[in-house]
Amino acid sequence: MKIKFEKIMAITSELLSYCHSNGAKEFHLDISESDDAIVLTMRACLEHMPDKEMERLHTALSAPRQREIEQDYWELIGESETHSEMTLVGMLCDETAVQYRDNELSITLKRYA
Amino acid sequence: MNHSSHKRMTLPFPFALMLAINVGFLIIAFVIDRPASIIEGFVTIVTSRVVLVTDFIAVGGLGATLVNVAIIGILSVIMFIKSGAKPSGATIMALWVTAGFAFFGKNVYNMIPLTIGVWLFSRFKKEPYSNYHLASLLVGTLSPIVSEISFLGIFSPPIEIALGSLLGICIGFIFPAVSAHMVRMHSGYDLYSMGFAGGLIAMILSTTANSMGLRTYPVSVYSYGNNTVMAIIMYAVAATLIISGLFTGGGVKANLATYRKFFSHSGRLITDFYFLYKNTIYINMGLLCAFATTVTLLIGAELNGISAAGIFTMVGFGCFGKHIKNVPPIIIGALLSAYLNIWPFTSPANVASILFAAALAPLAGQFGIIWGIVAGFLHVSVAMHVGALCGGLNLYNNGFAAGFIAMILLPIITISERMRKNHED
Repeated sequence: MKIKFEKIMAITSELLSYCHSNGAKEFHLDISESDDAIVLTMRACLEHMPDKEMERLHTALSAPRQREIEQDYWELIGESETHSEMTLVGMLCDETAVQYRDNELSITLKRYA
Repeated sequence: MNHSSHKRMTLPFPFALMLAINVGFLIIAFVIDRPASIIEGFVTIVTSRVVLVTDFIAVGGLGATLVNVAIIGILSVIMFIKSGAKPSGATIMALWVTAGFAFFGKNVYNMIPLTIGVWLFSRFKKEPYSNYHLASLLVGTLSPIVSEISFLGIFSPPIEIALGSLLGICIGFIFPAVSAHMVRMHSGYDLYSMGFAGGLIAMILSTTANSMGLRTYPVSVYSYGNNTVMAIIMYAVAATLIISGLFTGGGVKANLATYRKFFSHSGRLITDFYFLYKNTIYINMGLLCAFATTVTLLIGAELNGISAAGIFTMVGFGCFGKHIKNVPPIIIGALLSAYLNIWPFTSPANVASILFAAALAPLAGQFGIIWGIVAGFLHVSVAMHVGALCGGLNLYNNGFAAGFIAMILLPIITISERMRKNHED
């Protein structure tokens, strides 16, 4: 069982950066680690989240886990300049869920070892 | 009563297409050349020193080179299939780049020790080898080192081969860690990121060897006079790809509509067009193939092994960042630079730098045409010099040069864009 926490920190930084650049002022982060997986949930208060942006975020995060990409490119995560990093976040995770309700954006990511 | 079930394995379309194209190369090889001369040429290719720039078409003939390309291409696909790799933008790109550099530099012999080194690294890290697929193919950027030591001609052949193989394994072992770390330096704006990592390793090895009195010199071995056959091959590849992209999935109209979406992406790493648009990538890859071939022919340059590698690399990154809108500005800048510099406009080195300058396509995609032209212009100048810095030991020399351009241009562009925004506000 080996979950690299440095990658979780990079993902967290990316999510924070993404939410902040979209106007979030308040963040809540939950990280829980079990024997074989880490679940990361970020909730951010956002006054407005355009449908198109929501769709783009969903598409980016639904990228399938790509372990061969992970090794070579994971260090690009954390800069949040374009959507390519959110796609990379998706490629580092096995399960993702995105929801926007009552001015709150919720992103849940699950990453197995 | 026994029930036997047969698990039917379907080959993913990108792998099947890659296999078919490489089988096509094998057939063409035996159509244009005699088997005896192909075998002789192939042996020469495998046993030659391949320091930059050694065009395999000049070394072993076009038939033998196509066999080398086909063998490397087919083995790479088999390696992916056997280890359960799924097609993605990155894996498809790696297959095309690897096959392309089998026109100059990579052969069956010099790839093996490097790949073993990457495999050993995966064992050392206690991770599946499949996590290191990209590195195990693209580590081939340093394949000249293996051949250079193995066929040095100073010691007895077994000693040289053992030394070359051992060094190759050591380099393969360190490569994944080094290359993974390098992407941050250019923030994903150098598509040939592995070439940047390879360049740094080659530079350190080459300068160390020079200090010890072991000097490696870049060479210039180019082929001439194959434009007709090579143009037919390249346009046939382009047509195959475009047809594959147009007629799979949702039909021509839907595929063309999907293709327009490519242009909304800057192309910066990671832009996995295969994940986003599936087989529509082949329209993009085919158009890029036709574009690169046409540019080479229009300027009156030779379609040799080096330009073929440039075209294949263009094709490969057609599913991993490049498209027909972010590449032209870079090529325009590169053409301008090649026209103004001291070397003949269509010299093979200039042409290679022009074609490989597209490593910087994400700069044009993200920051616009002008910055793209600037990046392409500067790239040619840098690429013409950094090869010597590495002693010709880094095949993806243009990836090394592009890394420097991205590192220098990015902060300048960022400041300039901020100033422009402040001025507008």
